[in-house]
Amino acid sequence: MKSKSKVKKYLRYSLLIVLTLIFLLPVFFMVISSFMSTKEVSEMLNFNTGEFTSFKLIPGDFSLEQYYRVFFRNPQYLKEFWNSVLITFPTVICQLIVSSLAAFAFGKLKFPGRDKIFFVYMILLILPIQVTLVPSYFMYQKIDLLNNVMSIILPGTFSAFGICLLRQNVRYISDASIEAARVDGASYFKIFFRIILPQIRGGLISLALLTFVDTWGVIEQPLIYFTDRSKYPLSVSLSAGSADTQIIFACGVMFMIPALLIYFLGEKDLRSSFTRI
Amino acid sequence: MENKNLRKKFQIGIVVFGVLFFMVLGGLTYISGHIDSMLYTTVTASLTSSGDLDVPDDVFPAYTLVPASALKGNTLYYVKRNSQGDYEVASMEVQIVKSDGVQTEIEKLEMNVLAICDSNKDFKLGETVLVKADIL
Repeated sequence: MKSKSKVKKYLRYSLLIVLTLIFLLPVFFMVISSFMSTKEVSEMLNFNTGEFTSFKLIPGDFSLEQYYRVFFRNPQYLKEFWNSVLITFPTVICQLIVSSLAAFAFGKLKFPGRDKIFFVYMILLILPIQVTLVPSYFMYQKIDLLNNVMSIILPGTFSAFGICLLRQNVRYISDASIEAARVDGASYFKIFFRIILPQIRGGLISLALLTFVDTWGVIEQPLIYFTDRSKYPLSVSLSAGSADTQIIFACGVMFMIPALLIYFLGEKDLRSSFTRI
Repeated sequence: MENKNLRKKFQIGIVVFGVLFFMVLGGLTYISGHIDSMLYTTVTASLTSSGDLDVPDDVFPAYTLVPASALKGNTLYYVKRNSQGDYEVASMEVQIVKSDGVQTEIEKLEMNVLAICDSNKDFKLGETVLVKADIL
């Protein structure tokens, strides 16, 4: 009986290890391939047909040529990296501010039409981004926001997902503590800063992480709203195949690092926050 | 308790690494814009064109016009892209027909090339150079 359960356990772990390896393989492949010489990458991949001419998991000769070319010879990729930063960081900060305030209002304040407005917000949450791309394009054209990073930052700032996520966190805070603060004469802003914010810290970190990952990898919006290619973030170059194919792996590693750092910072809060949903 | 301390140390390490990462990339972004001009010879190049000196608006020109400064005797120095996407110096022998001091008429080339008119340093054949301006 005991040995049967032991076998089951080994089988379960083996399956999990195999699945993990399958999911990690592309990342492992990217990191390893970033140490191949550009010649070796060209020999391995035919980017015109999208086919591997040969598949290597170990570099033939270890080389830092790709990194040298990304960091010293091709400043456009570094500039695109900073374009990504310019889009992502303001979006995350603005979304945290707007979502936390809106979540407080939707979660704890009583005002006419509160639930109906929230219902409309929920509809926005289920709409795929592609549905609103073209109407948004015309709107930005009218208000002269095309070719402007604000065309990506603004929709991100008022994202319905952030409000829904934080509202769930706010609802866990007891009404009694808010009412007690009101009785003591605290304003809504004071309640927000002293009672609400400290208690939704985990939710805020999770939202920051998810918004970061979402905006860091943004592709469709820049392609449609930006006609000036110099404003493209690195995610567009990496995905649209416009990057120099010989150094694409080193670009990928550079692009991956900030997202990994953010994940390591907020991983614990991310788990605790989702248990509340 | 020990786990908590370890986690805190890990998080501090992540923050320090993150700050250094962004600072280094910021520095590299600044430097990489200037590093090419420090490392490589900068040349001014001009695209050759089909044309005749005597018939400026000839519809079917019989010759190629190159800047006079691009020729050293009968040798035309030009830049071409190598497999890495960089410009390198190449040369070819040409048949000079006539010159007006500014442009030189040569036997027609199969295709127009970026002729080197000027450079900030001496250059060698096959050397990688930085093209400062393509005067088209």
